[in-house]
Amino acid sequence: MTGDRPNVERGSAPTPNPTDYTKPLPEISAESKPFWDACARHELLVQTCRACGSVQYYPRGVCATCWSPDVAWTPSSGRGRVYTFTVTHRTQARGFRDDLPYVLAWIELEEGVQVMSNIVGVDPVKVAIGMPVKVTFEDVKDGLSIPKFTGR
Amino acid sequence: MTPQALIAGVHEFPERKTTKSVLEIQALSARAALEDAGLSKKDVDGYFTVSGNPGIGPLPIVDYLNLNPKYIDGTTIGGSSFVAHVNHAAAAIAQGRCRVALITYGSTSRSSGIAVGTRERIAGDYLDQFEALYGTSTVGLYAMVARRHMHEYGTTSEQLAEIAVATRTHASLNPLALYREPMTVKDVLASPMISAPLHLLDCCVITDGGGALVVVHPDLARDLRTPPVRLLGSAEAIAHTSAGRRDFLVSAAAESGPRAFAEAGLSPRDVQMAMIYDSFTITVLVTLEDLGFCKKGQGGGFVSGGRIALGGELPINTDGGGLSSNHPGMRGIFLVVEAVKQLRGECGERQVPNCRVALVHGTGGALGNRHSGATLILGRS
Repeated sequence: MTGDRPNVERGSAPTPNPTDYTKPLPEISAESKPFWDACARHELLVQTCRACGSVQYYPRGVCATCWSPDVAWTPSSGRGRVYTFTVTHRTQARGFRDDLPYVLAWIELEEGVQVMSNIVGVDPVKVAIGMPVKVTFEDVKDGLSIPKFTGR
Repeated sequence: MTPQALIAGVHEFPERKTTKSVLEIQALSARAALEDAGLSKKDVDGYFTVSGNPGIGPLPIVDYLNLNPKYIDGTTIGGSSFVAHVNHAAAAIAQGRCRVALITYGSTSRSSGIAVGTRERIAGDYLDQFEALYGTSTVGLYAMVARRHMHEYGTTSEQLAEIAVATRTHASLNPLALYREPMTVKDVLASPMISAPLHLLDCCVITDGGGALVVVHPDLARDLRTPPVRLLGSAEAIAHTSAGRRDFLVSAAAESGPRAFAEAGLSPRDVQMAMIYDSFTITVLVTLEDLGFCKKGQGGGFVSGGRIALGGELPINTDGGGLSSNHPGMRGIFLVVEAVKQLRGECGERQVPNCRVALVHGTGGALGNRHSGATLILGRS
């Protein structure tokens, strides 16, 4: 089970050896750096447009609603509900075979936007649509943590 | 009504595993489709294909074919691309940019050992850092839509399996189909779970393959070998993550379908058979709802009881579909090939009686994050 693996659902555990983590890593650009810097501090950010007020995820350099470049980084509560999910039993995805069966999900945050992630630390058979979840950060290496979700 | 364009020639490469190259498959298919049309290489003045042929878009294949087209289109929007190419070819023909448009496809997914559905889904773009980190796969993205559909509407795995079973029945009537042994709902449910709730037999096959289409100006009707099929309506659309506020149960077909029907001046009731992209069983169910063949949420009941099988109210995927016959990665071209053959009455044992209007809908990408939809309404001569 995903949640039984020691390198998952780590919360604020010490930084692991980087070679432990064989899954894909984010290619961080100037555009997304504030998001990833916040993740390293175990904070989940969304964006709010200063021109039209729209909240959006994933983050980007413009408001997806009105294309204003004046978008503010705003904290998410990190709380949400499972919008939908799949328990993956077969995969070729790098680093995920050892985690089978694992849960891929869309989570709807309290801010009203959907986030793709994994549900960890919960028996996959217990995951359900509508289940309350909260963000947890997997510390991958120094300065890099990946947002995942777990039960609350 | 004057059609926008005519589909004059079609060809589906017959092999499902081949030693031929991606380029060679396309050359042989182009030759066969032009022969089917009663036209030849020298008549071609418009050329359409996807990028993902080796090299820069259409450049290497145009070189290989030794063509000198006046109009080139490399639109690549996943498996629906070739359906969209028909739409684009019709527009180019209507504008006088070309008169004989050739569309080709070739792939060696099977012999190259590409696990189309379960391989790591990395696009190499900005969006990867918010998705590809999480073990995303094509089948996983579709499975999330299936799960949500079950939650909202009570759709069952048995109902999804009905789609695979009807399609296999059709494949049994197609000598070229990859899998022809009949199967049951029980067989689908007993097959290994890949990404819940989708089982192995909810997923399309992996093949080598390819094909070609020839779309021509209506003026050329008299010069053709076989009575051409008329393009009555066509449209395309994209559905995506919508800045984080997406209803994942509504596909691009909800946009492209009504526009294509409006252009044709027809409705779902006028359609005798439909070719619906079947990457997975859930793809078919959602698409049928969005095209208006049934109400949203009623797809599970609609696909049951033989309605979508030959002899039913709306036979779909009479060639055996991607689920049982042919899916080299981008299946859209075969949807057009089979619909054209049905409208010409060339389908033998799997012929839909008195087929006058057929619908084609291609889906490219993944329902669970972003995808394209392209719809064609085709009519008999």
